[in-house]
Amino acid sequence: MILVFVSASAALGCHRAEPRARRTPPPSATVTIVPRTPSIATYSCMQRCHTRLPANPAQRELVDFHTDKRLAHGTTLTWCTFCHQDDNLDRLRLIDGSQVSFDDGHRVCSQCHAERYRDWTRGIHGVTTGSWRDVAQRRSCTACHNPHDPHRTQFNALPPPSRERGREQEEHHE
Amino acid sequence: MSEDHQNDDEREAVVEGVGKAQASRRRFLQVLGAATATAATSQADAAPWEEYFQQHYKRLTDEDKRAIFARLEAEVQDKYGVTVRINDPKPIDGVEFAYALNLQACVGCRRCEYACAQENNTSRSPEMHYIRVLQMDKGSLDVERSNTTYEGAVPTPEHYYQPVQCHQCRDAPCVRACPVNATWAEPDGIVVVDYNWCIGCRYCEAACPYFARRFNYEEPTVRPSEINPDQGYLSNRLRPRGVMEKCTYCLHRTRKGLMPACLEACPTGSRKFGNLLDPNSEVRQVIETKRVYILHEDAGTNPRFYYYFG
Repeated sequence: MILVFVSASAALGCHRAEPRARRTPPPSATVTIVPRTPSIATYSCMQRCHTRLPANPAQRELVDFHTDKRLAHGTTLTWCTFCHQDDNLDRLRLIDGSQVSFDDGHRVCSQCHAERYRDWTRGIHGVTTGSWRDVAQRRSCTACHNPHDPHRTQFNALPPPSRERGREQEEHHE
Repeated sequence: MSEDHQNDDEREAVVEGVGKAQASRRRFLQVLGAATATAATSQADAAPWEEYFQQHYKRLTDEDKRAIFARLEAEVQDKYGVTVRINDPKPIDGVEFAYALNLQACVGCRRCEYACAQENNTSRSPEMHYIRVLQMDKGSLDVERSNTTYEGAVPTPEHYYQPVQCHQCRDAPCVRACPVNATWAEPDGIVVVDYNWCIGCRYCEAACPYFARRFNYEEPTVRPSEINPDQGYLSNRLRPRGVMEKCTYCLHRTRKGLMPACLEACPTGSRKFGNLLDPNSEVRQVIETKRVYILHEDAGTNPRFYYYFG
């Protein structure tokens, strides 16, 4: 039996390091940002409701519409028009007054969350799926975070595997 | 050849004994005695013999592989009635895979565990998961006191979560421990197992400081409707009883350019995967710009799996 093992080990290069891969990496993935507008149920605002109904920029208690929106984002974001362009509700507004699409919502977030934004552009923060080599899809901030109430919520974990439960019992038994 | 004839009697005895106990499992006797070879050709059904005397993966020619893959595909068709396709994607030049995991973002929901099981055709009963999510006390790095059986709402304010899977070490103790070379590191860094060469001794399981290797104590069961038909020979093909298996960074996906299944399933974006040799890849960006933490760095295995904060 020992002879068998020895011959097998010799032939397969036992414990010898594998040859290293060649050092020229293939080109990096092209990152596309998944557009947000198709996921917003009530988009486009200007065509659905605000065609004839201009937005009321006055800060007030919302009673008729948008009552589901609870604004609990920091201490400075106290009213819709801070981020929404009041004369064109299909657009978001930057602090300098310029307008961006909902698809570029991350630019609005980046004004305060600069470090997170930098990490996101590098792929360190946020969800990137698809391919590590060809085309990757990156989700914008609001795909995961509710911009009106961004606090992290709990949800239920999937159950632990039965094997894991068995292992724990076994350990206790020992 | 002299070696072949040296211990014929002994070898035959071993073949016979093993055959009684577990006919399809003990394939380490790759040196054929003349007597056993004759016996093989006289069998009406050659498949078990082909399997029994199948060569080590590294010694297989492309033709051998074609025949073996066809045999394995037919076996699955017979047993489960499912048409699967077994392929063998090769390591890509200039690619060394690495994983990074954001400990601040992970919420411990175990979506990755189940996506992995589905992708990799791991046994559902007994339930086998390659990934183990540790619920850790905040302010502690003590994995011994972690909880792997938590249930209910996550994340809790008192805990953080650390998923652990194979770290694809550069100096892998499991590879050193294997007495028959059934496991090795591929040029792209992935540590793989030849399920047809493994003798099931579990030395690698004992050697792994991450408890990342799994053993099929029983015949793995997967419902035919849940079998993933896209199978890699060295990764997620259906395994027999009595062999080791482990995470392979989904090499049947990743070598085709896709992301691993666990990453695709993660709702928090905690998981980052890519080519360590590409300076623009997400994993490289993580390593270069974030605080990176290596689990059990003291074990000296130099893993290709990095935890990071932020």
